[in-house]
Amino acid sequence: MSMVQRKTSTVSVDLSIPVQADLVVLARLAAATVASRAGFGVEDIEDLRLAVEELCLSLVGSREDGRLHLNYECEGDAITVNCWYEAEIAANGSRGTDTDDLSLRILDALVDEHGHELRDGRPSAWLCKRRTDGG
Amino acid sequence: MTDEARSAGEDTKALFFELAANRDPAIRDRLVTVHLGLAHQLARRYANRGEPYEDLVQVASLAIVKSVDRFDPDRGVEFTTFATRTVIGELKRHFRDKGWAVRAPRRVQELYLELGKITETLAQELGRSPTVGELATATGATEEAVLEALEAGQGYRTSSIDATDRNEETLASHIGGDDASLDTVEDRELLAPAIAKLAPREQLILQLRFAHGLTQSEIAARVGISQMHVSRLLAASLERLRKSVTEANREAAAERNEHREVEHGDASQQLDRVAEEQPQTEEEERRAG
Repeated sequence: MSMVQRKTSTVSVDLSIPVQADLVVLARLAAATVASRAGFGVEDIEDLRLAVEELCLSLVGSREDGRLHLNYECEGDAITVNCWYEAEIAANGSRGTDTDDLSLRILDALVDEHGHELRDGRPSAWLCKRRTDGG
Repeated sequence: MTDEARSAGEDTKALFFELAANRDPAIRDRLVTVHLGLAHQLARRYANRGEPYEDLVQVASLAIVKSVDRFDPDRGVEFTTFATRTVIGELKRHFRDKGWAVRAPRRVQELYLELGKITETLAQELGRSPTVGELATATGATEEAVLEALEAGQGYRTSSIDATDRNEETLASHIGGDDASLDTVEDRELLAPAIAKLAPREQLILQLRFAHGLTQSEIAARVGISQMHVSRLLAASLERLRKSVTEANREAAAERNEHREVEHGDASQQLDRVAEEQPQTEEEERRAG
C-alpha cells in the first residue's frame, strides 16, 4: 500500500470545450486524471481541480460564447496547465481577463505558480502545481 | 494599491503584532471583523454547489477566526494569503464531509462516503494524502469510479455570483431573505464532523430518515434490513452524535474560555428531542404517521 504506482513519462493532453459553466467539469476531470496518473495525492488533486476551475473562470468571466482551450502537461513532479480563450480581445493595454484580486489569491493558495497574459491578442493563463507529499 | 488601502494594510499589520504581544481579545475581535468580507467573498465563489450559501459563510467565517488565531506576523506572509489558504481548506473539508448533500447516483454517494473514511485512515497510515490508485485498491473500486466519486463531492458547477441567467437576472438577486434553516446552521456545522465519523450505512440511514423524510419501514425496505434494526441503528447513531456534540461543546467552551458554550448546547438539546421523537416499534411508527 505504501508504494505509489506512478507513470513518470511526460504526458501532454489537449482539451477544447465550449464556454458553458456546466462543462468546466471536463476541465477539472482532465486535470484530476492527469494528476492521478502521475501519483498526486488526493489533497493535491483537489487543489488542482479548484485551481483549474478558477483559471477557467478568470478567463471566461461572464462570457457565454466561444471556446476554451486547455493543455495539461505533466513532467516529473509537476503539472502545468495552459488555458486560453479563443476569441481575440481588442488590445487596450489590459490583460483582457476578468482576473480580480480574489482569483489571484485563490490561485496563490492552491498552486505553486500561475500567471495571466494576453497572448497574440488572446486572454490566456497558466498554472503549475508540484506534488507536495512526495507520494 | 491606493494610499488608503496601503494605510489600512499597515494598520492591520500593526494590530497583528499587538495581538501577538498581548493576546488582547478586543484586538482579536477587531481583526476578525475586518476580515469577514473575505469569508463572504470566498463563500460566494463556492456557492451554488448544493450547499446553502449561509452554511459556507459560516464555515468561511470560522476559518477566518482560526486564521487570526494562528497567523504569525513575523513570517512575512500577507494575512489575506494565509487566510485564503485556510478558508479554502475548511471549505474543501466542508464539501467532503457533506456526502449527503451530493446530488449523485446512490452508488457514487456510497463510494464517496466510503472514500471519506478510507482517505482519513490511509492518510494517517501513510503520513501523506493517499493517491487515487491507493483509494481504488482499498475500496475495491476502479480508479475511474474513485475519480467520479471525488468529482461528485466537488459539486457539479461553479458560476459567478454576478453572471446573469437567461432572464437577465444575477445569481445574487436570487439570494433572498433569511433561509428558514439559518437558525440551525451552527448546529449542523457542529454535527457534520460527527456524522462523517459514522459508518456509511448509518450515514445513509440518517440521511434517508432526516433529509429525505422516509419512515423506518421504508428505510428498512430500501436498505434490506428489518424495521427494528433500523430503529436500533438510528438510536445508536443519535447517541453517538450526542456524545460527539457534548465533547465538541466541551472543547469549544475551553477554547473560548466558556464565553459561548450556551449557544452550542442547542445542538445537543435538539438531538435529545429528535431521539425522544423516534418511534421504537412499527406500532409506534404507525401511530406517528
